[in-house]
Amino acid sequence: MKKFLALLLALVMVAGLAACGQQSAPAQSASSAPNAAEAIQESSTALDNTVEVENTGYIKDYIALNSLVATSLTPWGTSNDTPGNYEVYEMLYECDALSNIYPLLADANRGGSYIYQGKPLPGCDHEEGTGVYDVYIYDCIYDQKGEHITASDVAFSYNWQKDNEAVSGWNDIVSIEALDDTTVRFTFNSEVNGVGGLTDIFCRCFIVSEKTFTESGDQLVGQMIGTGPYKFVSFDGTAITLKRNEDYWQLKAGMTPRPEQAANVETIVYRMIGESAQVIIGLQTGDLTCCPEFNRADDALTFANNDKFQITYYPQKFVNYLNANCDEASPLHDINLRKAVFYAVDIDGLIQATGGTYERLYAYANYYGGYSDATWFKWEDMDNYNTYTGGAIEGVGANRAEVVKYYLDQSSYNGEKLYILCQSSDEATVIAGQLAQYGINAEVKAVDRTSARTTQGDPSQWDLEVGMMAGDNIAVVWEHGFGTANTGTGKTSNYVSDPEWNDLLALCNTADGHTKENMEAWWQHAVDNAYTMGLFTTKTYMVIPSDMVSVVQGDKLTFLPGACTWAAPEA
Amino acid sequence: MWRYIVKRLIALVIVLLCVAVIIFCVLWFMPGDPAEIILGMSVPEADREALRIKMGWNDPFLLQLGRYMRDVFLHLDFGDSYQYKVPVSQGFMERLPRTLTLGLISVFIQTVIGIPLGVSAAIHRNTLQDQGLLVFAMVFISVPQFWFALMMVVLFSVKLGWLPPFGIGSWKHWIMPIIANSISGIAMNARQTRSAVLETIRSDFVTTARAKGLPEGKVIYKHMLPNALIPVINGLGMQLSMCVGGTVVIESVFSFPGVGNYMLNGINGLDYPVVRGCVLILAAVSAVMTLVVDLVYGFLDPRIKAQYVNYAAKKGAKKAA
Repeated sequence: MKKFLALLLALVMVAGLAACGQQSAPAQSASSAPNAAEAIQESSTALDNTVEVENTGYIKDYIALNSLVATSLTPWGTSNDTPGNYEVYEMLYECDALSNIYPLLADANRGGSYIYQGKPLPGCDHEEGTGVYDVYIYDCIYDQKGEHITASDVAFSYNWQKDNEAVSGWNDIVSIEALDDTTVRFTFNSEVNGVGGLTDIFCRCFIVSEKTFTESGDQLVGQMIGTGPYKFVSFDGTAITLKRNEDYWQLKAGMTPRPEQAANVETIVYRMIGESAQVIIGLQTGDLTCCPEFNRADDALTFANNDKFQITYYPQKFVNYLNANCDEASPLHDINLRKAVFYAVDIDGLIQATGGTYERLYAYANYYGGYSDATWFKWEDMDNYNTYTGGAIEGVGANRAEVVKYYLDQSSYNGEKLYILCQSSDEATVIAGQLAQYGINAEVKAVDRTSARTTQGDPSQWDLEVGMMAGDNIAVVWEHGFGTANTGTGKTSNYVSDPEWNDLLALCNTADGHTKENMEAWWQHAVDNAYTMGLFTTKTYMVIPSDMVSVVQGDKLTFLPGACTWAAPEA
Repeated sequence: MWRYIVKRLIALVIVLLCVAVIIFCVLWFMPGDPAEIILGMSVPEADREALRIKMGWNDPFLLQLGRYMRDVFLHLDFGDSYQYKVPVSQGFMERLPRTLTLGLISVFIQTVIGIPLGVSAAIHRNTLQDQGLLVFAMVFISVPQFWFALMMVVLFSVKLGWLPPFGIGSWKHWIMPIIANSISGIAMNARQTRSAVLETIRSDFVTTARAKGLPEGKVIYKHMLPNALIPVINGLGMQLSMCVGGTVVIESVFSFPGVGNYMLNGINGLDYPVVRGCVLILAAVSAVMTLVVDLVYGFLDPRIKAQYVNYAAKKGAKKAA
């Protein structure tokens, strides 16, 4: 009897402890998706990067924010996304949040003979047809160790990154050399005609002093020494600490830094925290000042109606898409079955079922594109299966269900199971359910990141793929997804072998061919052949303190905490 | 006895060789391409192939295995981490002090609190004290470590604001990780000690000691406890070997930059050198701890020591014969 009572007591205690873990926060759960979507809509504001940054002049003492895990502090790599990189290091040119290129270390008072993205590029000279581009740098650049940065340091930085890290778009570089202290010559095999091509060169290499690099002893793997407005203080394995650089070269030279290069905080601490629950706790306890990236509305909603915080959001450059395996090994080799599947997917229903906070995508690319992209397309006017209004097929009405039935009848589908390859199963599960309503038998095949590419490389292993892709502009996103150079098979990653389509994409990726007509033609070709469809783009929520006046983002929407402006505390 | 130790050391080397081969094979056959993980898919296939050739990943399996075994066992070179870009041994040693501190303090607390609790419960068996310990042990052996850690964070950081929720820095950052890491060990030690003492308490020599009129304290601590501790030491040995590799969960919850986090990042990033190096080092630590525990057995219990010595002597005699 005693043992039974002891066991019962223990069970009650465990149950009680488990129940204590229930949070009675006002946040909505993902299962009440429409409420979460409505709630976040009421509690947040859209971030508008076209609005000028309001400079209050107030320098905040300290902020801490969460970041990705940094495994190495090296300034060079395939993604340059070590926390603090954009505060400590600088490049020849950088892009703002709207993907407009601007000179940083490049001397804006020289050059300008080269027309790039429709405008003269300050600091750069180029003679048509030579493949040679000369970039001029300021003569007054110093790093945080006091070393004078010259053109040979620029050449060193580029050559080191080229020789030791694989960087996209650098294969055509023949040489990078210093002509004198302030002139760097870039020589390519041919003219850099690709869309965003020079951005991939000039805006993808942080510049360091060769002397500093050599004397560091660890090739700057464990420390950061650059030319930027912030100095590296320490890295203890989970937090990077930066301090305002009082000797920033632009200030010493009497220049007025751009808003992105402002230093409006004395000390910044990047804390590497992986779980959103920990981030929420950090914000609640004050150990974190802001969170620049919540992907779930539920998490951001925790701080709705909280006077200490404000919530803002912006659409990410990521696109979520559904690809069809066009290989003969898959039933989706049949174009009619592909069309049936794409018309069967209800994007609005998918968005609602998975949290309600995505933005609908009409094409395989978001409208937050690079130069000119965003102004061209009225995506909602383009047929993307979900926007079908009828009339294209004789005898078939405007109801999408009828269109699905029509194409299913035309296809040779016999009820085979279609495997939906994905890394996150939420969307794929909903899609499988939607397909089942039309008698299309689908099963989710969720794999981890390391297995995804291997599985995709075997066309017998999957039929549909729910994936995510990013790019600086729409044509680059398409290139990543449907270029044939990266697969090594001569076909696209979803096994499309269509030379006409490939040629159109190559044309869209040239400076001259990057026109509205060509882009629409490529997309229409994809729709006509049902190769792929866009699903949605993700919104990212930022929880920022209520005294932050202006949010500043840089290239690839990187949050620049030091550049944000703050309201002075009330006296 | 020395012969026994030498034989165990030789066996340890063989174990490590087998572990190295197994972990190499497991990672070799796992799906995933390190070149894709490192470079991503936005670079041409030619670049990924160039990296594979440069790193020797296209070489035959046996060649890669031989190269790996030679580097590790002849040069103690575990290779360079793909992500961290520093030698694995350097990355491991940078993090080891923090993890060891966390682990050793936890083991110390588990021993200092757990064993006396168990002894007390056994001596006062069937009382409220004993029942309370049993409930405590059942609860904290059953409750998942990460959940308990998170609850501590909610209580002490969010609600009370006494302690920082993550990271390292001051001594306050260590309190919750140590407690969370220790609690289940305390419960386990207490239970094991209680069971062991209960068995010993009924022994003839204990009755004899009491019959001789020895004070109760002497009966417990001089006669009973050394015999009762033998099974407990086995558990302690396991806890010591978990010092280095068993703190992954705690380090993850508290964003603690230790060996566990290092290994976890290596697994997530398909960083083969880090995974292989960590597994091998942890296997070595575990094997050494097992040997130490066996030797401590021999020190505590002369019968076991005699077994070791006799076994070695018998082996020697057989050979001579």
